[in-house]
Amino acid sequence: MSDQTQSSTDLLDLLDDMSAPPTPPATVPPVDPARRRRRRIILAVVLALLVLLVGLFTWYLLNRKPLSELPGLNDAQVPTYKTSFYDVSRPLGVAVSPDGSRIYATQSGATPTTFVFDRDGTKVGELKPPTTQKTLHVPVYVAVDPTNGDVYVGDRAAGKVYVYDANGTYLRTFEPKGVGVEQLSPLGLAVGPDGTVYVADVLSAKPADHRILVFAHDGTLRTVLGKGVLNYPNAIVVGTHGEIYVSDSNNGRVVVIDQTGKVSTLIARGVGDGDLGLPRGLALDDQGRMFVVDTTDHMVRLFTLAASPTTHPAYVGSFGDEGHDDGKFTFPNGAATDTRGRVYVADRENNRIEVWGY
Amino acid sequence: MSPHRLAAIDPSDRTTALVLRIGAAALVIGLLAFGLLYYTDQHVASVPSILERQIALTEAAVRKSPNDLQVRTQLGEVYEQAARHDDAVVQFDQVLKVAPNSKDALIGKGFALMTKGDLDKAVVPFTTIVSATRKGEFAGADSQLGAAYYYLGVIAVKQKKPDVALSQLGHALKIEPTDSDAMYQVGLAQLQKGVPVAAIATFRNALRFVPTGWCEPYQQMQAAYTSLKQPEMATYASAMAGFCGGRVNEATTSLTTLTAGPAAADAMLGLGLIAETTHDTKAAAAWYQKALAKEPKNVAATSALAALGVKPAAHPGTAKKK
Repeated sequence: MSDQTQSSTDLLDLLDDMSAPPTPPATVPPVDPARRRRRRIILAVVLALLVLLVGLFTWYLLNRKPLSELPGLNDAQVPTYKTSFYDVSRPLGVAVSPDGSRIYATQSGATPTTFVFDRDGTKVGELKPPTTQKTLHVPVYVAVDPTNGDVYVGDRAAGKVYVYDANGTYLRTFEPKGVGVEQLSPLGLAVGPDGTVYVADVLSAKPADHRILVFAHDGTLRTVLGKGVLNYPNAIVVGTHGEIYVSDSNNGRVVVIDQTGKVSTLIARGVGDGDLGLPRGLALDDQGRMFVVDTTDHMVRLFTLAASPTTHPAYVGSFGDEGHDDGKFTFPNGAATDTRGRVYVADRENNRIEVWGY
Repeated sequence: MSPHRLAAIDPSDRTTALVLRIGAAALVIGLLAFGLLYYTDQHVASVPSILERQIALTEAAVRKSPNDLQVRTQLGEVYEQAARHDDAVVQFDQVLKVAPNSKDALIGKGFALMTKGDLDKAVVPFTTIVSATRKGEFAGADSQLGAAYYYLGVIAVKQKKPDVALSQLGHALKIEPTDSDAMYQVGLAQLQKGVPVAAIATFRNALRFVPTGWCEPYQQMQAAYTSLKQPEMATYASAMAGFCGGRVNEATTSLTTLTAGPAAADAMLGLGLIAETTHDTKAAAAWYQKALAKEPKNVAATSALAALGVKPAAHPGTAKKK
């Protein structure tokens, strides 16, 4: 037997004998059932650990999420501050590509435009309005079409919604088709998993004119929601049951609108725990966590959705506070989540996109 | 190991040992690989904070124009924001070498020294401003002179010199009559001087300008009322401090119990304020009307109703004689 084999066997013996006193070699029986049993137990444990590791590897490669997001662990937790993306002036809206590799942020200050960041915060592109439209441009909210990765940018000053491909190439101007939608003043935007386009439209200062327009992918108007009950609806997110959640900003609440068009208040204005001041951005992640940006309280409030869309969500906690330091906000606006446990918040007056995560 | 013992290992044991060795090695390698992948995948590179960026930019500007006093003053200010008091003082001193009466640099230096806790040294730059500008043509509207008086007052309060504090803060309030921070400091000086009744009136005055989100005056009022042996009023102040600290339900309950005693009008005003912050203007107006019914000359209730655009209800005590 080679020296290497002998030293390995010695190691195994050492492992075997760790819990027992050393035995003189001469007294070792030819077959020791107890030692064999111990060795097999160790083998079983090692194999079980290997299976667990393979499972963990597989889960991680499929999800690329932090380990705190492992199934079965408590997901009702507030995220922690990770980093910030700078060099964006007065950002209002933020959205993430389906795979989480591209982050789109609208810039309302300096030269209004929309920037594309990679996951590390490097600016990799810009979504410029079409040069043919010589008008003032102020992009507000941005949404990503989950079916093809196209990016929708709502330009309130131009009264248009521009569509770009995932890399930022201008594709077209969204053409609404229907009565009373010739002119838009878009705030929040969302695109559903079936390609339905939702636009929060605030054409005049009168709340009676504020509404959610629901379009087919080709721009045909399907229905109008919330007219007469919303007051500056801002962000829109699409739920898993076909319902939509809207931050009804100047009414200080988050509402859910079901498929029949019924509007129900989910979270309301107040000064108690989890009550809202002036909600703006809204985001929903794949764990059923809803993030509501409270711009006047300079924080993000976190809720977990109930099984029924109209049931009041459970308040988990808030993160952020007023200020300029890392992890603080000054009049934050939009929010977005990716499928990898990250939350992006447009920290408007601090001119940055803050990245929080699990 | 002896040859005798080696010979005792049968083939199945050898297979087990081999599998165990391979398994252990795979486990170790797998864990290392997973750890490496997880770290590289999840690692977020830290970026400089806003303040660090501002410091870097301003330092670069100073390197570019070292004789620019404005940029150097800005550098002192951003150092102070970063709590780098000594660095800030160095920059302000550089400015003062060239411009000894620069009020920006004097205030910056005094503030940095005061924040650092060097109160005696902090008095000097503020006093320099006062000496240089108190008899100036626009002294009555000089906000930097007002700031110098204010900080001299704050330092005197910290040094437990209430008479000095009251004098300096009095000057500050002549320049900025609605400065609620100066009023609060006056209240603290009055407490130090042993006149809690006056202090309470001052804290109330300060709160007229900042009615919500400012807890300290209520906390000081609680202490003052306790020293005056007025438990209901102390409870009122405590409830308002609780409301200010976000304990809304607790405050509401506490104030509701006070609506029948000596603190009734104040409790009703507090309940009105709570209702107002929850945007329940109807309930807020109702509480203010009740407070006015209790005390027909209550200025706070009248002002609050006016702010809501509600006309005070006529009460027997306020009806005009025909």
